[in-house]
Amino acid sequence: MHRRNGIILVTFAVILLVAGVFGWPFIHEIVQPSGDELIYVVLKTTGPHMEFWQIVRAGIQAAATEYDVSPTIVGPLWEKDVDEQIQILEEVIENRPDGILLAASDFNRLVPLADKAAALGITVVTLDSALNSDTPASFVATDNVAAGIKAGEEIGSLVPGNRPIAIVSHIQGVATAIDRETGVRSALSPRNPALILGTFYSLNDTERAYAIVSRLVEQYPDLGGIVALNENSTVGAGRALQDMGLQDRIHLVGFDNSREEIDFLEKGVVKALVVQKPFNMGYVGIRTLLEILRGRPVEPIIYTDSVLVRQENMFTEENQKLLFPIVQDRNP
Amino acid sequence: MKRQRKPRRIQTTIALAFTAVVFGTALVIALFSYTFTQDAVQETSQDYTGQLISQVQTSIDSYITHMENITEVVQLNEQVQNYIGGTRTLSPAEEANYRARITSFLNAISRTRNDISLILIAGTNGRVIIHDAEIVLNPAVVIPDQNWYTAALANPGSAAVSSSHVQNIVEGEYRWVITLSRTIDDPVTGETYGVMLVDLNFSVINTLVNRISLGKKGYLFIVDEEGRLVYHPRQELIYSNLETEHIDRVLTGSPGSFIVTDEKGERLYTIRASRRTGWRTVGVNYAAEMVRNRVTIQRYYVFGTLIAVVVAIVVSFLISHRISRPILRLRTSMQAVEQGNFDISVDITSDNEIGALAKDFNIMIAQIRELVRRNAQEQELKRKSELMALQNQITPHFLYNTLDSIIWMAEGKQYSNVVTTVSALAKLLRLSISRGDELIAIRDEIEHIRNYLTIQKLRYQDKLDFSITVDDSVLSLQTPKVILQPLVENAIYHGIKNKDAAGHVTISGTIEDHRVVVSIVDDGAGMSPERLEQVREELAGNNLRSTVDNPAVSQGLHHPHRRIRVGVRNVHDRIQLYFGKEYGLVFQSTPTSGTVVEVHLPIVHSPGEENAPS
Repeated sequence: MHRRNGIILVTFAVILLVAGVFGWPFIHEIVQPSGDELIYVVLKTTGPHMEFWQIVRAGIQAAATEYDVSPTIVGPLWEKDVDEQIQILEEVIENRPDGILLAASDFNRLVPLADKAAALGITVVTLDSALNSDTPASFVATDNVAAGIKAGEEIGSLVPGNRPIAIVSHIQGVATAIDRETGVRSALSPRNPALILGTFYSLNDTERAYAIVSRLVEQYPDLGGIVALNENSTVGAGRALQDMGLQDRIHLVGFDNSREEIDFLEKGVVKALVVQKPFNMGYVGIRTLLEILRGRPVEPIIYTDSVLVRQENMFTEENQKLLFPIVQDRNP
Repeated sequence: MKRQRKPRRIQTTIALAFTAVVFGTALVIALFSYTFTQDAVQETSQDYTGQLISQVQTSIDSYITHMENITEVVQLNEQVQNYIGGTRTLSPAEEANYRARITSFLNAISRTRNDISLILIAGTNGRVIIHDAEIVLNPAVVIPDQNWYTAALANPGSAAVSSSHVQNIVEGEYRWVITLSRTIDDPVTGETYGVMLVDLNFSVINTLVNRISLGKKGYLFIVDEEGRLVYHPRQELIYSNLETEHIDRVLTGSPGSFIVTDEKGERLYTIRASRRTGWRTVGVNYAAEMVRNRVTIQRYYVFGTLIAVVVAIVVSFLISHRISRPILRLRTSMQAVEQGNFDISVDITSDNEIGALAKDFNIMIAQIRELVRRNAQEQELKRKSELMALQNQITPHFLYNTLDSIIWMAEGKQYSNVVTTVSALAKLLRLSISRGDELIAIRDEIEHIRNYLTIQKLRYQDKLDFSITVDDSVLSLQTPKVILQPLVENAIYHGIKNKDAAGHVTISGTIEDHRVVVSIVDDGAGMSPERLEQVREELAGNNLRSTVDNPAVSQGLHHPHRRIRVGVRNVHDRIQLYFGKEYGLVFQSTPTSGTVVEVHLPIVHSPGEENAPS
């Protein structure tokens, strides 16, 4: 009698056990939906005025939706605020996330923190701007050399071989400046090196770029073309050419897609703009970070595309989305 | 299965049955509900998507309709007709007048809704007019080269709707819009004067579509008839070939739905086409998300079933325990009774069948206890009454009389009579000494009474005569000891002795109606009817105890008259004690002609010949 009773009790216990073992993940699942990776994105800025970074964020959100994660996006209000970015990154590391997508404001100053994060087992992927460190698992950015080549080829085709070309760069030693210049120079390498007037630094200041161009025009009356390597350099150069009425004689190829640059492009002041794809950059950044976290191999450097836009193809389906990424609110 | 199986407990049986029933029921219900729910969920999610898409479509169509209505109204405006259609050179005042009036007209229309960002009319005569006089045209734009202009001219009289695009016609403004354009024609000749443009701020549609959620990953996109994306949440990725969209299938297939399975997993495309714009609005649901729902439902059902079963097991154990525990207690009590312990009672007070059973069991035990007690008492009575019968057999009085007779016969030198008497007495004594079985053969009882009568005959001489005729078949049957002597004594004492003439006692034994009947017939004084009735009543009154235990009765035994009456009574009681109420003595008597006493006995074979053929 007692043995039978015991068997029943054991069966009962086994049923409970089985229910528990099989049921726990179910309960767990119901209580807390599938274990998402904890991901932080530290941008150069989260300010609403910075269109580029807003589009990066849109790309990040698109990837987050597709890969079913909820990244927390943080960053300083102003783009140049390295100190605040360092502080923000420290706080992020305190939260011990699985991964951090970092768009570093400074090539060197964020390195110790990135190394600390990596030491804590946090996967770090850098976005847009590289870090002077080997710890980031991958680097996602526009291929600036390729972008430079596009600009160089365009200016090369616009300017006759006997007229000189100048390069207006932003800051000496900055990665984007170096890479873009390398690209431009390689595209212009068939030309007479004497007619490449060298690289002039605007220090990312439109006024300075304006001054540089004014001086160059004076100095080299047969100047045929200018390649401006970032937004402020392009705007400064464009204003100078417009003010001097030289836009038809001196060709300008620039970078980025600010409203003023687009205006210049439409009016023929700027002949072409090399435009990055920030949406894709944000998207690929999150995708890459997740691929690492989910155990898939990735390349150490992943480049996103850039596009050369001319006046005639400004409003194609593809390009208008790049040049005018944000749908404005309706009229008030 | 030679092994002896243990008897299964009721508790186990109930628990197993209950559990099995609940499990089965729960399983069937869960399966049915699950199937229904699953279908319902899938259907609901498809319906839901379809409804959402239709809603979006309807909203967009209503915007487009509104824009078209604007063109209808403007088209019919006479000022517009005259200004745009006119070829005459206007004076600056006329020009200003026209422009002011048309501008304020267009402005009024544009104000009706704030989602209209631009209304513009461009005449073939080169005159262009905008709803807001402050708006400056982009000098870089050449109107006849614009898509909306050529599209309207290609199809005069009907509206052309663009895909979403950036409107660059206004200087310094690059707004995402949807452009509706149509020709303005002469109402009479049908000649085209110009083209009118209405821009819908695309943010209206953007906001509308962004509000729609199709699960976590699902999304919605809109594509125009040429396959251009009007809206897609990941438009940039598609243009960069980082992502592909199944636009061809959306365009070629008829509206409805289709399923796509690729490296991104299974997706359900639900398509609605607009008659007005030709646009197709497409909802994309990830099957994995529907599956996630399904898995969740599955888990809920599995859980529900498991909980039901666990509860069933617990409850069934409790219930079956409650049922079986009193039964087990009852059984323990019964086992005690089997061991011979009748001094117990079961303490179960429940109100159900088990309680009733326990109550009946207690009553039964009480009755058995009473029966056992009564049985023991009756055994005791039998023993006492037999003792009494034996005591009555040869009384000192009888012995004295007999010995006196022998002396008297010896003095009269009647030696043969002496021998007969002494021999009879000796046999009588031996028989009475012989203690043994309670039942003896009728033969022995007859022999005993013969000896007794022989002695009495010597005493009463010619006054008493007797004859014994017993069937041979009766002789070997059984009877209680010493039942005839009190009756014969009674016959002599009350019958013959009171008669002047010689009396005759006849003893006969036969089988009648399956019973042994031994009759003692005397032809003595007989009994009056009253006396006979009195005797019968005495016999019928079941007061055996009184004859045996009553001290008054016992003390009166020395009186012959009294002793004989008690002896007869004793015989009757003993027979009934042994064989039951249907046996015993039957008296028949008529005054002066004698008395018949019948002894009714069952046919009882002696132990040795019980199975012998009779």
